[in-house]
Parts: sequence; C-alpha cells; structure tokens
Amino acid sequence: MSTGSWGPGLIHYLFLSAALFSIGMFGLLTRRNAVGILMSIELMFNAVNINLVAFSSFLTPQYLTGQVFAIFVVTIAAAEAAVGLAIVMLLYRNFRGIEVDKINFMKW
Amino acid sequence: MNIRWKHLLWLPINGALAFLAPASLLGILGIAQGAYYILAFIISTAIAIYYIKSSNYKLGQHLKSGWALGIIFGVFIGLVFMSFASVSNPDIYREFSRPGAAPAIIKSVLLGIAIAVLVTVLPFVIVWRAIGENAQGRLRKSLVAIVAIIAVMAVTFLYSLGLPGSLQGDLQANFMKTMIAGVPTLISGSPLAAPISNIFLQLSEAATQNSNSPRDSAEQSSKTSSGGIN
Repeated sequence: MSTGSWGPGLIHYLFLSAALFSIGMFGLLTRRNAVGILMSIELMFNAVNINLVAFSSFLTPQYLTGQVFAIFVVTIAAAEAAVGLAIVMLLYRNFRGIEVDKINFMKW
Repeated sequence: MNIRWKHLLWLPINGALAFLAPASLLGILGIAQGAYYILAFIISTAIAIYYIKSSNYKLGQHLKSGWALGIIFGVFIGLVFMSFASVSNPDIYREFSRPGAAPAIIKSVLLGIAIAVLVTVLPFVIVWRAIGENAQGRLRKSLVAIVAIIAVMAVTFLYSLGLPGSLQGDLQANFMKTMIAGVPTLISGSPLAAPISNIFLQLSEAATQNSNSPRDSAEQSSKTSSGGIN
C-alpha cells in the first residue's frame, strides 16, 4: 500500500470503507431475500476490514496488527456465512422460499 | 402552485428560535454545557411537538417514506465526518473507549438530535408541507427542492450566527458542518437522515475537542464548536 504523495491517502480508504458499509447497510435494511441479507453483512465486514488494514498501514506500518485483525474478521465472516447458509437451507425446506418477511414463526 | 401560507409562517419562528437558543443560553446567559444540551433538546422537541399537533402533521407516514435511503445517507455522511476527525487526530478512538465516555456520548446524541430537528428537519418539513405536498411535474418539484435548500440554509446560518465564537471567525466552519450534516435529509427527503448525521458530527466534535485538550481540564472546559460539547 502506497503511503507516498502519489498513492491514495488514508482518507480515501476511509471514504471507500464508509461507502461500502453504507451500501451493505442499505442491502441489510431493504433486501427481503435471506441470501441477499447475508451478502450485505459480508459487505459490511469487508468495509471494517478495509478500515483495519488502512489504519494499520498508515499509522503503524511497522506492525501488522490491523492485517491480523482483518484475518480474524474474515474467519469469523466465513463461519457466519456457513451457519447463515445452513439456516437459509433449512428455511427453504420448511417454507419453500427464503423471503424473510414470510418467516415469522418466532413472532409472538 | 398552491402555497399554504400558514405553514410558511412557521419558518421565521423556526429561524428565530434557532438563533436565539444558542445565542441566549450560551452567549448571554453563559450557562454550562451540560444544561445547554438538555435545554436545546427540550426546546427543539417542544417546537417539533407543537408543530406536529397544531398542523395535523402525519409524522409516522412521512417517516415511512424513504426511511432506508435516509438512514444510509445519514450513516454515510456521519462516517465521512468521523473519517475526517480520525485522519486529523487518529487517537480520537480512545475517547470512546475511556471510562466515563458514556455521558459525553449521550450528550452528543441529544445535541445532534436537537440541532438536526431545529435547523434541518423542521424547515424542510415546513417547506415541503407548504408548497411541496401537491407539487406535480419535474419543474415544480425542483422548485420545491430549491426553496427547501434555501430555507434550511437560512435557518442553519441563523443557528451558526447564534453560536458563541461565530463572530470571531468560526461562522463559516460551523455553517458548513451543520449544512453538510443536513444534506442527507435534503437528498432523501427523510426526516431520519439529518439526526443520524448530526449525531456523528457531534460525536466527532466532542472526541476531537477532548483529545486536543489535556485530560484534567477537559471536564471543566466550556469551549464549544459547531454546537459541540466537551
């Protein structure tokens, strides 16, 4: 990652991260499809990863703290996706669809 | 274009209140910051409730339209504020994790909501109800948007003028920050957007001020910027 005057600065990475996070949140709030919601959550995780790596690279380039945290986040995201997709498959078997607004059996 | 004048009459009242609230409480009376954020919240909530009741404004219906876009724009502009604050001083994240940060966060949330309601949401809703509800066609809708932007700019300017320090050169910075925080509502038309971005603005202001000042004097300092709190 370039830190010179030619490359993008920290603020550019933060803007990219903010845009990605906002797009992910938009998907999370508006999507009805469970897989779409999972993908939106992944987008938000990636926005966080960009922040972690960007801050680490620009502020403490001698350490790899942010990068290691990002690897942890990727691992957690993979586990979350696996569990989420398993739930989605079970929902499909029971409801013949994965539209979350139709799944309200836990609603009292 | 059908203009409802009784709605437009609320604009001068709104503008006067936006100017007088900080000017009288902070400038003339010189009350403490803790009391200011509570009083500002009470004043803006009171005028909003009074407007809703007296003009039969269906707030719930308006909140439902474009709420997702409003939240997204609010969060995005808020994150941009936080990004600028963290680039100018990367240590500000410590301000949110230190013990005793909760009161400062609550203050920022209350003040953000109060300012957003007073200087952005209320003028926008007043203009929209006065000339925008029955506007048909692209040209008329554009005209409504322009009038809404002018109204929000005017009220924001009056609010910035009322803040202490505005005559010493902070006017432009305060105006720009508060105006940018109001952009999400102007774009999305959702009253939810501006409070979200204003909360982030106040959080970034509070964190920047606290991290710039020595820890022992931070609690006693009564300086304010953009209506920000310590």
